[in-house]
Amino acid sequence: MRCPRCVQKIHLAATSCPHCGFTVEQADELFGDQDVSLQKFSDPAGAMRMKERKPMRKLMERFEKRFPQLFVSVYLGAFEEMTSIRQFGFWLLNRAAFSDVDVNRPNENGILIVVDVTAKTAGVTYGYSLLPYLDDESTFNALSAAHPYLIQGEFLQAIDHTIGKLETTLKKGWRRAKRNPEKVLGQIGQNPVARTKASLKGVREGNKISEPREKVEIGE
Amino acid sequence: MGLRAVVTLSLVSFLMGQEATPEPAIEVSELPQWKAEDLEMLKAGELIPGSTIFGGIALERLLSGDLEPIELDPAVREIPEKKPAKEEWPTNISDEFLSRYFHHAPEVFLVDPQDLLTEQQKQERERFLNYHADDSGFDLYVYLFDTKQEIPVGESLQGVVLDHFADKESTAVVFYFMGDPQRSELAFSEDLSEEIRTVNVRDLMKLSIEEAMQSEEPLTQLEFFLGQLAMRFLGLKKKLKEDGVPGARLRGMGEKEEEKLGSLSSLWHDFRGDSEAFLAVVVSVSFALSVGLLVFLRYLVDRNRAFVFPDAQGSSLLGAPHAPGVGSVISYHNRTQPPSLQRNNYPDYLQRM
Repeated sequence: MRCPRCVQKIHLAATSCPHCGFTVEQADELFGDQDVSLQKFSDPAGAMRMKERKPMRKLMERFEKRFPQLFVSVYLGAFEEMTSIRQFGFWLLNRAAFSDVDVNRPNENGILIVVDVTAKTAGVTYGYSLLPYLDDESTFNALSAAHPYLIQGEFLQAIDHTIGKLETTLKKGWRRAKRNPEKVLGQIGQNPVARTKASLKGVREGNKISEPREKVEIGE
Repeated sequence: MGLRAVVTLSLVSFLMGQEATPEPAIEVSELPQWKAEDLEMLKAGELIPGSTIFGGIALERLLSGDLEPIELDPAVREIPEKKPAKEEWPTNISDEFLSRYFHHAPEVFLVDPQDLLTEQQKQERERFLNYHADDSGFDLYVYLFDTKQEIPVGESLQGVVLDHFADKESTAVVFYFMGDPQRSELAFSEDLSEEIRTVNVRDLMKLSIEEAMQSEEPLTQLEFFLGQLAMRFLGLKKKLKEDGVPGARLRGMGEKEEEKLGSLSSLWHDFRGDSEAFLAVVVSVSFALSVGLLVFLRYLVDRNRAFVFPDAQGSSLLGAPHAPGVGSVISYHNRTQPPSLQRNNYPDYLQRM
């Protein structure tokens, strides 16, 4: 586990980074403390062609069909000044209320792919529920598969390959968890809980837009 | 001016004088020139161009205006007109060559007692046939005949093979007719004729003749024919060696297909003969097919499968409600930097400056 700011290893239970003192509040100070309402596919950079947007959504739907608890979100931004794409991903997945994501898929179960088309960097961030299945290595491999397409500016292909790699990793994790869920979840200090709609809904409620929100300028 | 310069100058002057000495002139008759009176005569019709060539008789006749045809001297008229000699192709082989063709075993691979080829051409073909024999272990004897020549009654290719090649192995004999490859004949020594079917001989010949017909020049035809035949023999010899058993005959098709089918056939016979190996392979193939089928079925199932994970309790790492903010970042601004170089490329923000 690494701190999104200093990228130093930290303990899973750390409420703040022991190295740099980073917390989510500091990310809020950087990017805004308001929840952000956005769709699971956002392209404020205008990096993707119109004709590619529909296949992009199909990709996401395909993923959601295979993984009924999970979702993938893609954010293509063009940041003038970006402190860290890690911090931005961390902040966005914690503060975003995805308007087109089913309530049964909380942000804990989300995977966020952020691409900064200006700085030419891409990152993957994911929720707590995916900690047993994804890690630095698997997400790095997923992004590596997209690298040639990112260079060419073929973002649809890049996202497709990234998601494809992530799916493969998740399937493997699913098989491991099916055989021995206690062991898999125990690796991150969690225990399996009874899957009830109430519990899922409880988690998801944190994302609901309960009151009118100000528009947040991302990256400032 | 020194003495040396004076001597040099004198020597140069002497040499130049030598070169300038005129050689005796060769007397040549002058070319005829047109004169003004010639032109006047031409205009008046008194001068007929070319009349000096045709002779005075023709000139007189032309000037006389007599249109009566000239009667040739009967002695001249009787001279028979020479007709162009027809190219007569000999059809018979002279007796003096028959013996060397049919009554003696050849000492070299190319039998050409009539000298249809020049000595150099013979040597070239000989070299080729010798090389082929060394390379393939397959002797190819070529008897050359002229285009229209007929094999005398009582003689035949089979007879030659029986008479002179009965004790030889791996030998092929060809009767080749210069300029007419389609008349060529091929026969094998006894050991091979038992193994090779007639249809295969026909195929060999057909392919070689087709190759020869690529050219219209008789010598090139021979070259192409022998080249193709030798190449086919190489494959044939290899095949026969591989088979090693009587009855494993070649099929009537291209050499490559023959080789493939032949080796498969022999493999199959060996395979069927060894029951343990047969059983082992059957079991292995069945197992492989089953595994393949299972993998395919799994793929089909996975394709439409929904993967549901066990739910887990949340956490609050760094005070974050939903996501711990972990994951990887990759940079693609440098086209020459592969992702693998970025694998553990974490910035050390805490390093002391």
